[in-house]
Amino acid sequence: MTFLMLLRRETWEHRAIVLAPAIVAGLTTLLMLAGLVQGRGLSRDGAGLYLVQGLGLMSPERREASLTVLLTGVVPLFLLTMVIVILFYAVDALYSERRDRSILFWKSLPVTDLATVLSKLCTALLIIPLVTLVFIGLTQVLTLLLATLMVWGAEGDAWSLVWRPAPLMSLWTLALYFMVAAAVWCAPLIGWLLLASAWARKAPLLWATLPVVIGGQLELLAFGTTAVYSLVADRVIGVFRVAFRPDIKTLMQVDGDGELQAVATDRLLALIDLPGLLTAPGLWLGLAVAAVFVMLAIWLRRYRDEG
Amino acid sequence: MNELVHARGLVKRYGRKRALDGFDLSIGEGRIVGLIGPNGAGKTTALKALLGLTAYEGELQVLGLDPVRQRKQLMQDVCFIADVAVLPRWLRVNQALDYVATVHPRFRRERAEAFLATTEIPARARVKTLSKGMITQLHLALIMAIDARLLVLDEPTLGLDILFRKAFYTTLLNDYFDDHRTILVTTHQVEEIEYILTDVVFIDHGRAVLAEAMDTLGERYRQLIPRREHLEAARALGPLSEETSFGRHALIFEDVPQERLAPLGELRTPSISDLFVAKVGGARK
Repeated sequence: MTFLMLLRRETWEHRAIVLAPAIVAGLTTLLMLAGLVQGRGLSRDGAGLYLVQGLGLMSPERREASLTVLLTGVVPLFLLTMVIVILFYAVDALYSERRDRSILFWKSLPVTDLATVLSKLCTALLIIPLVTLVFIGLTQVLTLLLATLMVWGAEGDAWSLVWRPAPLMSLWTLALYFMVAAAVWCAPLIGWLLLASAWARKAPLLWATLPVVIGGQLELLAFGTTAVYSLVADRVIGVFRVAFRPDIKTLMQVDGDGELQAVATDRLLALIDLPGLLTAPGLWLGLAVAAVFVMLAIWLRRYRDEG
Repeated sequence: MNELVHARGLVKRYGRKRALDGFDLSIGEGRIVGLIGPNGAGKTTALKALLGLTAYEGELQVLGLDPVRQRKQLMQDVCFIADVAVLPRWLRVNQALDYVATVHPRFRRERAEAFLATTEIPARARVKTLSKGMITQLHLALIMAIDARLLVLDEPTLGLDILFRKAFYTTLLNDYFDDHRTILVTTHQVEEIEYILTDVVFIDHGRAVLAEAMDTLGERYRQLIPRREHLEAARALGPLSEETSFGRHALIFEDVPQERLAPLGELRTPSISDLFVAKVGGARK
């Protein structure tokens, strides 16, 4: 109960956790609606006709592939937003309570520093991705609903053209797997941000980024190599490399002739490479490093005298 | 007497400066203790040590617990208000109630709501929309609804106007305090809390320079207004301090028997602030 309340507390303070993906979902839906109105999507000879004819002519596999592209098209914007929200959340999580001195209020209640810091870690790693996931799902359902209206406008059969071939369950399973895999893979980055947040007396974002930039530049000057930068970059995007099969790249690719390269439904879940993720030494090494960062953050919150 | 706070020879160093330099404190159950000292005397540091917010050297037990190592357990029975501005600005009144009700096993929500109903604080207002006085009322509502054995208040009324300050201490005394509760309070406005205290502790340069029950204060410390012809005789008895106003002299004595002072003039019990000036101000000269 206490831990759930600690998680709720984070969403009260950091309203962007819900607001940011909600705004993205709203804007996406508005854009789709605008497109629908402009293309006279609801009339018999409007854009809906192209949809009915286009999808109707396709083989079942191509139809699924097309809908996969349609439904995953909105995902990158959500992911980008999520990364920004997590970044700003994590550097603020253990800093804002010291800046406004409310830490003394929180510390006047019987909640351990361990539980407090873990609730913040959990918010960054799980709550923010899960909230994003819910809004992605909502947007995808709305997309299909709009497509349904268009198909109906052109007197087509929405079930066979849109809903049956839309691989919603597979996409959501894939997305959930991605969020969890990304969370464990990126854990050391989040741990580092939380540590900077617990450490900095001012400008935690600077404390989080400056050591990396200085280290990277020194390495570049001394050895002409970029190991530091590569290490950080791999923690940001490396989850695609370790947690998925290489075909993941084709999920949304369009080749030179405009041919869709999307993977059909039955192969969507085959993209998951769980053994690859679990046997990656980088994963376990990263988790160990993350544990050290988080323990240091807990120690700082507990024992640092705020003067 | 059931001793709730026991501190012997507390030392806290910040670099080369000693914020606490052999500080002693003993607080029994059911007392209201005023910790009084000039700025930088170590008041806040002493409270932080008691609340497990800072490391220290020396012997310290609060409710029989080690404040640093058994902090979570301690916070079940100890409440504190550190400063008026300490509630986060984004928090809503109802959120504050929800939060404390969930994390604190001894919080009685209906008590907090009953107290809030007597104020003008809107039920869902954010802290940032409340006045300073209202924020203190909200904080007090939260704290008073917790069945704590020890309440620690560090300058709780700083920056409030006189009406709020009066109301704060009246509420504290009438609605909160009973035989099983103990309060430790620091403040600059000594005159305003003098009448509610049972004990007073003066702190200066990180040491307790006086620790006395209000009942026995008058037996140890006496203020003499000597008749003009006895002024020199009074001075010869070694007063802690001598003040002159409108040509009248007022001398404060420590541990000088009543029968030696009474013949020299008019005797009374010094006020806390006069005694504070005598004890701390005198030492500083």
